[in-house]
Amino acid sequence: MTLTAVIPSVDELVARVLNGDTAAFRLLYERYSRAMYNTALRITGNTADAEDVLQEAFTDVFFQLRSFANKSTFGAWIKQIVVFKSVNLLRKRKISFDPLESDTELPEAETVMEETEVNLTVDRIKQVMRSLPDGYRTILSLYLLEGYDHEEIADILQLAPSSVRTQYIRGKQKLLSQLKKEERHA
Amino acid sequence: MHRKLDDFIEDNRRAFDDEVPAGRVWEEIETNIKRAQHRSRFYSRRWMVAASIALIIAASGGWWLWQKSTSDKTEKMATQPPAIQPDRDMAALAPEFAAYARKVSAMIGERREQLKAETAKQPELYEQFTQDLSALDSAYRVLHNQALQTPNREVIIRAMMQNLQLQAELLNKQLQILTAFPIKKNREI
Repeated sequence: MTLTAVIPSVDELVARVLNGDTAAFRLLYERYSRAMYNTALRITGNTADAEDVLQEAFTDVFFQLRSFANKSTFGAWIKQIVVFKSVNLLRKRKISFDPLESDTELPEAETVMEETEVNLTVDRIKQVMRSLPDGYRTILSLYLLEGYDHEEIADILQLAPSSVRTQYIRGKQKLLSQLKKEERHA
Repeated sequence: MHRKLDDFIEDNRRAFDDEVPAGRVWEEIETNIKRAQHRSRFYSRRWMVAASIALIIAASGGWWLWQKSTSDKTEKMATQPPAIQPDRDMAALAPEFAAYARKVSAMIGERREQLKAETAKQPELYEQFTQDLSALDSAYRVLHNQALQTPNREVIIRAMMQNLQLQAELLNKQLQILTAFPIKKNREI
């Protein structure tokens, strides 16, 4: 028996849930919850909020499954729900994604560097990302990890694409300079 | 190893998803779903009960008016035959409706069977569903008895047909509820 015969496809699970097999929904949850939790965690910045987002998102997914109807891939659809809920949560905390209101200070000249100068590890990138202001962290996460382009991020955050691009560059510089700084301390 | 940030993240993408959500998150999702389903069932049932009551009131109102307008003393025939037979009734009362009545009552019979099968594991749910249907059934019987005793049957026959349609719709609605929120099967993954 091949592996694909044992593990039901996502489409199959979706069809099963729609036909009333609620147990199949648990399989969908198990398949996507980890990635979605990490996505929410990167944007909201804390576990309690990320868990709230995950819970609300999957509850919505269950009740809106009929409306999903293969408009996109299931993974892309659920990620969109998680991202929107996470961003809304930041908004409720009165976080502004507008660069005029958030950190406008440009990285100091000497910290602007070539990316290749920094030694990268997953743990250190995660750690420094967590310490960044919400706006930078969100934009960097959406672009670098969730795979959205600048236009899509502009839609999600309701900003001009040019503003997203500027903030992305600043955020990235900030991330790299922090990584460099830590490297020096280490 | 010095590499560009974008490439590094892309190559190590999966390693960034290393946090695991707490088990209680799923439990809360499950609770949310169950609570919402329960609420939905409750409201649907209330809707059905309200529809049945409205129909009974309408039917008895009609009966009262008819009673008032005719001076005949009528004996109430409240006997309840095991099942209504709209096709036979209509063949006698209004042959032009007989074919339609046969179709609707066949549909009703079919859906009742379906409902019975769907709720096989929850007899109390079937009981609840059929209570509303019985209310419609007895309203139908009242109408039928009146139709047999009055020369001006048109209005009553119309009400009888409406009653049958309502029964079919009610069954549809009940089956829809069962499909949308199936009875949780006693099996775990």
